[in-house]
Amino acid sequence: MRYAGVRESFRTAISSLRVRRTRAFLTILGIVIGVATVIAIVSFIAGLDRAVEKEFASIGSDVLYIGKYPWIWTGKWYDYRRRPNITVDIADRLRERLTYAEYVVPEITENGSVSYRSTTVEDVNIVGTSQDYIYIENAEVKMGRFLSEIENARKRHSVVLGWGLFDAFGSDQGIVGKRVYINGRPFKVVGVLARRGRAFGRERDNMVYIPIKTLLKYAKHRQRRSVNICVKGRSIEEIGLLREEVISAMRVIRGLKGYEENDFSINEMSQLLDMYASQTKNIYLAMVLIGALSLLVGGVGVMNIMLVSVTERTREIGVRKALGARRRDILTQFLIEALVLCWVGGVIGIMLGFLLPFLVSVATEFPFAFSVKAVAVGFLFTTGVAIFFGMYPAAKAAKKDPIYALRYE
Amino acid sequence: MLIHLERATKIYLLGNEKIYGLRDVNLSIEKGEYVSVMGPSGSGKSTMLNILGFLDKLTSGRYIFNGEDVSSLSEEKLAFYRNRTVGFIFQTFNLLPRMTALGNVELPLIYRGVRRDVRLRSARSALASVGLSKRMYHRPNELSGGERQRVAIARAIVGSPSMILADEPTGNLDQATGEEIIQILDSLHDAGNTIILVTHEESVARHADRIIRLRDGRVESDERIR
Ligand SMILES: Nc1ncnc2c1ncn2[C@@H]1O[C@H](COP(=O)(O)OP(=O)(O)OP(=O)(O)O)[C@@H](O)[C@H]1O
Ligand SMILES: [Mg+2]
Repeated sequence: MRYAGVRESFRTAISSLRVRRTRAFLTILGIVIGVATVIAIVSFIAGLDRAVEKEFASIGSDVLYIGKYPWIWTGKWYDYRRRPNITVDIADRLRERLTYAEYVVPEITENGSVSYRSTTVEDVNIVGTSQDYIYIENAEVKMGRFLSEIENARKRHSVVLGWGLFDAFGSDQGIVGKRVYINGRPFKVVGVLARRGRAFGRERDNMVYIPIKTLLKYAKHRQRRSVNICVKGRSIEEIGLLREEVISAMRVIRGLKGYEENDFSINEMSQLLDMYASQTKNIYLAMVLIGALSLLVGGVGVMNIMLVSVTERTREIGVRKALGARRRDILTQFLIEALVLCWVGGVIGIMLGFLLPFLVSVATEFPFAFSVKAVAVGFLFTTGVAIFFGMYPAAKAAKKDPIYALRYE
Repeated sequence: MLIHLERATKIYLLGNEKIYGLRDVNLSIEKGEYVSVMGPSGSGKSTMLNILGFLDKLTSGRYIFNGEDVSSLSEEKLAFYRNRTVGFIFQTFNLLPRMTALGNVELPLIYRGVRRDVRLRSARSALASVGLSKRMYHRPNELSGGERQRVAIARAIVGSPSMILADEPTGNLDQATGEEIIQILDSLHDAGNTIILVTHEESVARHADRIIRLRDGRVESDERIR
């Protein structure tokens, strides 16, 4: 049951494609576009996944963020606006009540200027927070120490500099203990954080950290400001229990009745992950649709050119049969021709499909991911299309009556 | 006995009309014979050759080949017999245009599943035997009519078939070139091959040992001339 002349079929296929170069190229355009689309989107998403993974790794998924507003808005903004503010006081009361929480940390940010000697840095993120902030953010102290409880209670003018400011101030090794001015007010430097890098498009080194109560003392419109409370769980397995506990504690603190809705939001990383997953799922779906559509168009084109080729080469089929070609020999010959045609399209498509995300990655910071999976998928798709759409013309060729075929002009 | 036809009948159906290609033909051909088939146009010469060469099947009657009844073979078997036992030579050469002479001659052996090196050796020596050693890598459109027909002959003999069937092999050639082709057939016969040659020309037919004349699908005469 051997299939004669597979090698010869490949040669015939390539030479007959060469003869009809323009027609073959037009035919495989659909395949090229289909495969390129699939590859481009698969590798875009692989790059996106990689970027997102990096971002999310910087923030713990065992942390709940209590705020006035949700991260993902589902209701009307004025409903959220009407909610009472979250205060530092609430953070203190939660810390007492919550059994599944390890740290409860309030946080609020403002923009301002920071000066040291003759250098002034504008537009610095001034973070008001408490001593445990550093555990939640996985930040590292490079020099000195982080803020203390006493400093918050006494509303002291203490500051921990982010790495960016330390750098901007000439990397002065003796800066701890010195005085800097935040929005014109004197603060004593108690520590410097190690470099933190970017996350979610936010530069995290251009920050200074001061006691939240100190910040609120001077904050503009301080009665209208709502703080965020970060609650870190004891373990990631108990995050669900922690969420329940936070909700009921908040309701007790707020004095909500059974029928009243929560007037606060509990935010967490997994919501963003879920949203990301559902967004990319849609992209995947669109990709499958576009890819499938162009492959369908390409496949019909392949079928068409193969049918034309079979008719044009009726006499050749007759000759081959007269020389002893069996049906399956003719069938494989034409299937191989369809395969070669589609593979040429597939290879061009794969190259184009990677070229686009590669160029984007060169032009922007977006990471480029070469996905072997994408290549495999592209190859499989084209092979499938070739066999599916090549089968009918090939079968038609194989069935030709040799007498009739030999007389064909 | 190599070939034996018994009340061989071939009917073509054109709509409702029956057209007789062959009608009750009885015929025997021995191994090593050189037979010419003559007759007016439409008398059934090609039909007979197609039947003998396993390209077509009888409507009724029997075809015994090499002592075996081959009247109703499957597609697969027909292809097998075409490949192993027949060497066809056509009026219009029927070479594949995109292949070299060598590639064309190789074809029957490809379908036989012969290894590439063996195949190439056989194809080269077949081409050499028709005097085309220097034209092996030419494509058909780079060859003269006579050279093309010689390539076709090389292709017919490359697999050492039981019989060579030639359907008006000189029909598309001038007198002198036709002579050359017939000379090659003569020498193939001298080497022991069975040859059945369809022709319109009496002078060509006279090269054979025996002339069968057909008319309206029947054998009109069957004479031994040598
Ligand atoms: N496929 C076919 N369908 C219908 N009729 C056919 C077919 N092939 C042959 N015939 C008819 O059968 C008869 C014999 O044809 P055949 O081709 O065998 O004649 P021939 O002797 O080879 O003629 P020529 O010398 O013109 O080649 C003719 O009447 C022809 O029209
Ligand atoms: Mg004829």
